[in-house]
Amino acid sequence: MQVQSIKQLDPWRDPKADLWRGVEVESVPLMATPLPMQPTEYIREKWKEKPYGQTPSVDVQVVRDEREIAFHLSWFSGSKHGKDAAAIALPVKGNPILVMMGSRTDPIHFLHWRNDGKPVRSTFSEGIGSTRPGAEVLPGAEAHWSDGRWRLVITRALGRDAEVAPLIPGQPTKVGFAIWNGANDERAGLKAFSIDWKELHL
Amino acid sequence: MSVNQRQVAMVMDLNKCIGCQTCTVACKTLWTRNEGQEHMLFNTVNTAPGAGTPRNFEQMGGGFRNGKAQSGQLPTMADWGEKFELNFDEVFYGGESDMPLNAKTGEPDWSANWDEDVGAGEYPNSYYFYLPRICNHCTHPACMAACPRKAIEKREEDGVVLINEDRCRGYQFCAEACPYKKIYFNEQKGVSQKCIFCFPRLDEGVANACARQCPGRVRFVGYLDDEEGPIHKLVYKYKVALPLHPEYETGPNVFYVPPLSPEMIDDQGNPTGQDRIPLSYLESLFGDGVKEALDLLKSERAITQTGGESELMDLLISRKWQDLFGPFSKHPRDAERLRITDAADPIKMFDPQLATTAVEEETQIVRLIDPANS
Ligand code: SF4
Ligand code: SF4
Repeated sequence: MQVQSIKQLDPWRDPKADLWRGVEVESVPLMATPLPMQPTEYIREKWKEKPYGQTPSVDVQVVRDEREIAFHLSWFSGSKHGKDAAAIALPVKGNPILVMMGSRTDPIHFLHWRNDGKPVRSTFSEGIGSTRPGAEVLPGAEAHWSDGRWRLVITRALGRDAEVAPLIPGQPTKVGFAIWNGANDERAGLKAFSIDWKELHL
Repeated sequence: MSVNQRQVAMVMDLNKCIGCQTCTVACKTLWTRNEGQEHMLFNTVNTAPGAGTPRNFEQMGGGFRNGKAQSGQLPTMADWGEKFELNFDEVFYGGESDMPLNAKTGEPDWSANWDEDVGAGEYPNSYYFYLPRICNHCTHPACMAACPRKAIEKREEDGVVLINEDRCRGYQFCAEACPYKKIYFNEQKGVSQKCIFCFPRLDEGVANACARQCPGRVRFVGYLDDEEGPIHKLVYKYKVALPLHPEYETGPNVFYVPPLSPEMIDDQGNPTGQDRIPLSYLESLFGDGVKEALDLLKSERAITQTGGESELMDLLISRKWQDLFGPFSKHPRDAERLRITDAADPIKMFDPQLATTAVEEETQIVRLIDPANS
């Protein structure tokens, strides 16, 4: 996944902006987090016969200027729901396993957007169920829903810190994605996620 | 699952509950007055038989069967009943004496205790009783087992089950999994909330607000393992206090003394010797121990009626109000002040703004005192 370098990020914050048309799109296939990996017996029991995480893919575009990066995510959601949500995962260090939500030594930094009017959440995860509020990375998001599709731009400051996934021009890293379908009552581990990391070339 | 050293418990004597809702109001006033909590009643009192609160909660699943978690349903706001205001001002001060008492907003068709005093049975053998409910602070809390965030804790010192609002993400798996449907959602804060068994009061030796305020002396509070206390005697020695729906396998720590009933009467108006509340109904609530419990209550009552002594009857009568509360018999006025500004405390139950004002005005004790200052 190639990050296109641009002059000034501001006009790109609008997910509907025509500018985005000229940027390479990568369709990232998604799959449901497997039932045995749901953290409690209750959740496994309740969802054993109920499909979840059925969003097949998310189309991703990425641009950056000198200070910030913007991810444009677009996916089919059918309906629009207050609990529709998306997240971007970035490794903080080491080689975390995405589906395990990282580990103590190899943590993951997430940016979460939810269609509830609240700001994007930055979270820090050292494994399933361990997520806690993450470092301040000046995250932002704008979302637009039309014709059964969400278009979402999530932005973050470039740079690195102890608990911040490094995003440094010239240094490749990895990125992962997750989508929750609110109308299907999806939350927590009930989601569609990119099976593995995608290389991210800044 | 954590293993707690001791367990606090409550026994409610249903023979004494008059359905006055003082407990409900005491709790509401103390704990759920903030924005986002309008629909919350940690304590409810419903007429039984009836739909309960939330409506038909007994058909919503959750809990365990043979130790396995059971899928449950999330009650909707319609099941709880949305908050509505009544037209008190118009009715009482508006000069229109025949105006009926009505909701000011819309026409609600359900709320907590909507089916008050409806009950069941045919005249003259109709029947009902009142069933107050709080969170049962279960020994195997289904709520805690369901939470993927480990946001629910059972306090080691007394087994009180608490939601840590710093960890809670508002997923509400707990609310689905609790078979008693005792967990509410605070939209404002995005977290689940429920009865906290007044733990800040217990920590100061003061009994729960619902218990202290109860004019019926219905509620005993104490440690389950205190062999000299009324709880241990009622639950283990006399076995007259039984858990609600033990088949949910969560091990509730609230116990009920089942209600005795008047005799049924026949067409001629003569007593038939049969209890008006069907045993099968009581067993559907409190399990197999009901018959023995009722039989013992009747025989002990007969003893005292003929001038004899009965420890069981003495316990249940509780002539001395303070005896209901065991180690928690302090008056809130005499309790040490609550450390509401303690930042290390992860349980955020005070509106920080309210708390600050309270501290500044040196009135922070207000939350420890029963609303009516009893
Ligand atoms: S009554 Fe429900 S909320 Fe309370 S401890 Fe038991 S399972 Fe949890
Ligand atoms: S205050 Fe006591 S008597 Fe009144 S409803 Fe509550 S439990 Fe029953």
